[in-house]
Amino acid sequence: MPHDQAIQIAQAGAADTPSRLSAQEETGTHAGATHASEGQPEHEYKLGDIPAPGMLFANALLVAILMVAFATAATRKMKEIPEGIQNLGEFIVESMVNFTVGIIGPGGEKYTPLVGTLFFFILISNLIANIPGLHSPTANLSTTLALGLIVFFYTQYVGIRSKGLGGYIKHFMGPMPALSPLLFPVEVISEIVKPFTLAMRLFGNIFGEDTVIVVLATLGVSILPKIPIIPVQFPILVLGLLTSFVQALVFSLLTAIYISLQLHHDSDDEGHDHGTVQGHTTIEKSGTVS
Amino acid sequence: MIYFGLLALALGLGLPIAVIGGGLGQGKAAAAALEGMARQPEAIGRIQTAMILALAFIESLVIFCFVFLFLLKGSLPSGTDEILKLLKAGIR
Repeated sequence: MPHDQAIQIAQAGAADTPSRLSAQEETGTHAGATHASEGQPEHEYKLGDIPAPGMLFANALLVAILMVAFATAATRKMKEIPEGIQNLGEFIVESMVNFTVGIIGPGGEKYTPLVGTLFFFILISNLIANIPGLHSPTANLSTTLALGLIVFFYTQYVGIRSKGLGGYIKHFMGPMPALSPLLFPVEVISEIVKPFTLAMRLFGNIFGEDTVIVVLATLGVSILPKIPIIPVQFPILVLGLLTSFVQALVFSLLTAIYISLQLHHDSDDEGHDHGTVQGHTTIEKSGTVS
Repeated sequence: MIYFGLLALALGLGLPIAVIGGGLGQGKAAAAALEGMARQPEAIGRIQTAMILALAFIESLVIFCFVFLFLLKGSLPSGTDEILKLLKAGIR
């Protein structure tokens, strides 16, 4: 019983603020309870489990619909001299093109749709939870892992297309043929790990932020039960706006860097450093980060 | 019970240890970046971007620890009722 009350308090406290987590939290504690008491888990909570599949899908769909609606509105009546929403759309597209070209180099415009869509999908997904009643789709491992796998398969496709199948396999071998049996597994593992680290980083940041908000909201309720609203979690909400932007930036930046690693591979062992350094030096040209 | 006690200790102490490491790393990165900014104010934009990226990387290690905490938390008995039940069942 005590923990049921705690959950109710948490939900009550988080009701006026974005309570992205309460459903997930509830599933977790209940499942843990059944698992520990009876020993036969009926619905054991696992990381990345979908608490309410309909909710998650509906929120992701809402983000997609928002993006499509904006794109349609921005391109419906195109004029030579842009004004209003078309102006904003052109600014967004231009800054994303600069961002991608800055990292990948000339010819990087081709990859702008993927990188830009990922950036804005993640950004809107992170921010949408600030509207009461909505949950952010990226606070779930399923969504972020799907995004990571998209990046993984696309980068492999880009690598095979740009270097050919032979060159693609050769890039796993390392610089010296004698060392290739040693380096091959390392390179393959480091390639396979990439989508998982991408997914875990995004999921952990958003989910962790939500957890902190729920804990602080519970604290604010339980300290003084007579006063209904003490926004102890407010500083974290403000910090969350920054985190949302930075995580979206990091995800799209790493996507662009992975693509550029698969594209340019002049000298094998310097490829990684080269791509990263280029990424760092050229973002500020685009002006997305001040 | 000893198992659950140790698990609870790990849950409580794992994240602070990770936070100590992450804090030291982020402090070093931020100190170096600030020094660079003070020496070269014209390169502030570039240094800031690189610093944010580095901080995100360091932070993600702590975040991984946090995610593992939540993985392990599911196997801990929640509430005193569960613990009493486990004690009655003779689990040590």
